[in-house]
Amino acid sequence: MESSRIRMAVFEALTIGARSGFNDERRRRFLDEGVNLLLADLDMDSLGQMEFCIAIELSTAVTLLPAQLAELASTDAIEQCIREKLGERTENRR
Amino acid sequence: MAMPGREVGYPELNRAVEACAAWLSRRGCAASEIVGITVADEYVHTVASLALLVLGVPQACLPSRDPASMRLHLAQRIGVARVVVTDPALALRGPETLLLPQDILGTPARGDPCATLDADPESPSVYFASSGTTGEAKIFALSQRDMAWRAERIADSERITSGYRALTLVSVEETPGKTKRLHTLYLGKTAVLPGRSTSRVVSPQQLCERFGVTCLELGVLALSSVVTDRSHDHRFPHCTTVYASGSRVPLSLRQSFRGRFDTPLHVHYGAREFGRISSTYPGSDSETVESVGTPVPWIELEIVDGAGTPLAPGEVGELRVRSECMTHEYYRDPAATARHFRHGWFYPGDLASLTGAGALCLHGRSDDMMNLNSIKIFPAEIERVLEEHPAVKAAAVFARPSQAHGDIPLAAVELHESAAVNVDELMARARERLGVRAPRRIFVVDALPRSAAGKVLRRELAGLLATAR
Repeated sequence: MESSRIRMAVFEALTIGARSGFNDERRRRFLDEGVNLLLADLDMDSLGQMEFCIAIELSTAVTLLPAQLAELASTDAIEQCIREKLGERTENRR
Repeated sequence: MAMPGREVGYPELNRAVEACAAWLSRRGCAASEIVGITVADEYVHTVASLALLVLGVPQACLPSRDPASMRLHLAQRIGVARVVVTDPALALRGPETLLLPQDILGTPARGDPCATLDADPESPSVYFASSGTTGEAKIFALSQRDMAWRAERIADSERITSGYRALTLVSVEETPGKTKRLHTLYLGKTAVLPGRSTSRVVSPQQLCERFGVTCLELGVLALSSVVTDRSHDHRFPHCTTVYASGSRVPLSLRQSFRGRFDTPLHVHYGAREFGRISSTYPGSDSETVESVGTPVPWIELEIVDGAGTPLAPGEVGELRVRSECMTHEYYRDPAATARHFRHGWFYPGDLASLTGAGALCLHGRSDDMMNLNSIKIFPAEIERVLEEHPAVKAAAVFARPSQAHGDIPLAAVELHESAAVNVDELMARARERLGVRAPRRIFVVDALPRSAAGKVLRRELAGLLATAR
């Protein structure tokens, strides 16, 4: 999966999981300027984290656990994690 | 029996049945072996079925629409020794073929008299297939006593009178179609046979008008077609009452029907293995709760938890029923028997609750219940919300398994003809109404995959959309 599609998947997942924290300004900066957002700033509660992880799983087939999000801490780290997991799968298939 | 261009009274029907029974008897059909019927013609099939009942020969339907391999497989599962056909092309390799000459039905019985009616009323007389939306259909047998008992209970509850004329659009080769015809004839009433495809499409309303139908039984799909078909303005005659059957007859569909027709509509719910479980009676059909009516008086019904403890009204649990006259096992299938028949109860596999007023509400199949991070989700609840959207004709919810989250609920919707829907809007609507139990994806499909009986095949649907994003 291309990086741009992974970023789009994260964008959509944030739209679902971080409704109030992922405001218009952050959406614009995330998409247009490629900024790295800290999850702590996005005001995701436990339900939001679950929704975020489900959305990521549906769009990328990568499983993330809510507990992992605290560890990953930022959108860049999440994207990197997804890339790595998808890469591992590609390697395993070979 | 009434059919296009012809009415057959009981004397004529009896002569045809006797002639057919004599023919079958001469060919050695006996109570010791099971005879299959592969005859699509409604009248001939019914006569052959009655003849086998007269002889006490157990029977099973091997539907002509199924490919030969499926019919043979079913014949082998049941142990069918011979198969009655009218079309030699439908003969199977294996069981002996009994090519029934159709002219035999119009002639008086001759030669050796057929066996007298000494069939054991308690022994299996008809082998039926369950609706089986998952995997292989389960087989169960009903005795003549079982069928008679069911017919009599229904006749009492519906106050069936001498002018009763029943029409079902389900083929005689399907279990509900066959049982309806046998029940009607057992009661000495008129079974209306719609006939096979004619040069032009005839609406159910026209059939009811033409044959003076008092009882029209429709599945959900057929009911939906009647409501949405705006190509004509046919009305039902005043004598007709419509009965819709199935575990899900959406409230919106009932309201649409009542908005368009001044015809009584009742909803039945039951299981082929068990017979009728509940019914809406005049005045009992709430317009605010999508119930399948109140339990019929001749059965016992409970909603229980996993330990078998009865639950209070409003609580959702597994439905179980029992009655004086019920099937107690699946044929040659101990595993399915153990799952569905326990401690004298039959578990249809439906999740249900009772309202304070005693109406039965269904919440989907127990094996369809989803568990999303410990949140219980009932597909029927989601489907009801989606079907409230005016563009949605039918919705089906299925799970995408997730190692982390359990079952992620997804939905597919089939739209009304030339209708359109904004999926984001539908998602938002579902989210607003269902919160965390909302589907996480909604797919618009041309048609939901369905069984011959019209039930949505969720597992097939899940397979079709397994990789869709």
